[in-house]
Amino acid sequence: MAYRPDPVRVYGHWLLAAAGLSLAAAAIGYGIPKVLPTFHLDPLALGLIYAVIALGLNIVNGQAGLFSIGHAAFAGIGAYTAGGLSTMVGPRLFGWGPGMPAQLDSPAAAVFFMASLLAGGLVAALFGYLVGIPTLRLRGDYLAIATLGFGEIMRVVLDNTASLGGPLGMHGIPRFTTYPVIGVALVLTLIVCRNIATSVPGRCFVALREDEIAAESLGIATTRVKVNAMALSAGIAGIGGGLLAHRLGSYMPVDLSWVRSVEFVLMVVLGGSGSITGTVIAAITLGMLPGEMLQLTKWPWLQKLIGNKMVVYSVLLIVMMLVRSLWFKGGWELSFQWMRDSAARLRRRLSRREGPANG
Amino acid sequence: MASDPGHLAAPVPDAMLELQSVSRFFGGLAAVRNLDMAIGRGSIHGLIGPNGAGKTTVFNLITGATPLSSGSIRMEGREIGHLAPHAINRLGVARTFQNIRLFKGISVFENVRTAGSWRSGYGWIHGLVQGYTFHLREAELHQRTSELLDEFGLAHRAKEPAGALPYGEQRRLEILRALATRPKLLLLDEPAAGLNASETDALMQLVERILEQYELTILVIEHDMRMVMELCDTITVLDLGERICEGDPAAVRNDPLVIQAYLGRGDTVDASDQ
Ligand SMILES: Nc1ncnc2c1ncn2[C@@H]1O[C@H](COP(=O)(O)OP(=O)(O)O)[C@@H](O)[C@H]1O
Ligand SMILES: [Mg+2]
Repeated sequence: MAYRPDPVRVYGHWLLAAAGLSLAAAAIGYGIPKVLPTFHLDPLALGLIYAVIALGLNIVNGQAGLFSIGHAAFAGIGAYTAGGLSTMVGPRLFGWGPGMPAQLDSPAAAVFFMASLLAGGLVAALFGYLVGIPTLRLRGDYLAIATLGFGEIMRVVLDNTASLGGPLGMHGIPRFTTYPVIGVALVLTLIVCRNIATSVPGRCFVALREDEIAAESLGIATTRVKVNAMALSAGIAGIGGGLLAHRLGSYMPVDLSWVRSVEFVLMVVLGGSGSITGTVIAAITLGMLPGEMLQLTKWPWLQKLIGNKMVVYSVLLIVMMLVRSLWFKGGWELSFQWMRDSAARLRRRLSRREGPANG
Repeated sequence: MASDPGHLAAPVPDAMLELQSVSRFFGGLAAVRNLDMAIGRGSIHGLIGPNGAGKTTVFNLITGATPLSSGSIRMEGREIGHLAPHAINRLGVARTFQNIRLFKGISVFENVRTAGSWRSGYGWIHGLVQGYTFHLREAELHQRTSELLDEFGLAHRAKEPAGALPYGEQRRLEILRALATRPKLLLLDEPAAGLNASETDALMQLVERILEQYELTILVIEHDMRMVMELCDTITVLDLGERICEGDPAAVRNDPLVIQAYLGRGDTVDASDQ
């Protein structure tokens, strides 16, 4: 009676998507460093890593309609966890000297690095879960203040923990986050976010955002959904934090401050609050900005004109805020469905233009 | 105005839902006091009364949205008075809201599909991997959603945001969304409020159709007396949180206490008087 999907088609598409995504990861990992001028590589790497963290935040702030201003802290927890494993456990396991290896020098080390990143994500998710249980009964502004408080507490705690470097933070973290690593991590994050958004768990997030009371009356366990969203979101941010630590080589308590959290919030808001595509674009743009500003020294007149990062930042914010309403209205996503629909629209328009009745 | 034994209806032998001396206080105010009510399987039961009588509070108590002050509520013999709203929905109770609570920002289709979600039979793992089971369950969910929209005349609106629909269609969509959870008992809070006469007729047809097609039991709060009198098998009248009368439409219409409760506030029971 019911329509049954054809397994061959389903798995055919699945494999095709897997192949395409592997290609995308390879393009980021090996293609970009080949074609892009070197001085853009560092800023772009940061932008791509920020995209991972912002995608995590997008689940809570964009899809579930909750409001966290504490995601720099979740990223920081991931960074300190993964960084700690690399600087304290790594040397013992692999005999890394004080200079640390410049790159992953063995498959075992690569597996260890992956495990460190995952551990960072898991610890951050655990914190997200623990923060979520008591605070998610709060709504709107109160939740925002609670997560902000949590972030500041984490910052102060790290400031006062001598074994983790105190206010100077963690240094000498091996720089394992190369472009291939970023490519794989970003593509995997995108898959997770996209697949959740297009299935039941993601729809529950959106129901929560749209109307919590209605959602609950329709059988959605809203409290559990909130805690899940928080844990997942914090976990992804934690992995992003681990990547960041292994890109920068150091991580400090100030990196957990609310000012950083607000930057992530901006990326999500500018991305259209809920749109995965928009979040990635906004995160890359804002994430690249400070690095790209350094290029201005080449054009002294331009630097004199807009030499202050905050000036550009503000103008960019305003422009993106204006453009956003055109681009990301109605939760637009760069999806296969959208491409098919646009192709159909284009074909219709072209055939109409060729038609004789058109004057 | 204590409940008069003379106005008690005969006990309902096969009750879908039973309320026993249910009370709910807000501070000193008794929004519902000592309410006994039984809703027969397969019936349409009306709940009427002047504004502020406590009707919506009764819905909130049944669905767990408001905790009981005292008393017991049983769904098919099972105590549900202590359960969370989502758990009560999963036992087969769905509702609409007096002030319409659609997911306004998402499409009509998504509204209905989201409501069927917990019945889809897959969770995080299948959602993440999106293999065959996922596609099978999603295809079923998609089909059920389309069927509901097709059958009840909202298919042409499927892609529009729910908030953009005209009022009458929003009411209809909210009913379909509740149906998507495949309830045994459907609670409708003033479904005809704000509808014109022809929209109300369409609504009455809809209610009668879903009652048969989905083997439902319906409890409806409504001010439109024509609708109440035509649709309902049994009517319970509330005033100031207490039941003042229960019976079939004819009995309720002629009950002196009911007439007094309505006339005392310049309201009227019989639509033909208006
Ligand atoms: N959450 C609440 N807090 C305080 N008082 C309430 C609350 N909900 C309802 N009431 C009061 O309970 C009474 C019954 O309200 P309600 O059930 O909405 O009446 P009806 O639906 O019959 O018009 C009213 O006096 C109302 O003010
Ligand atoms: Mg009411």
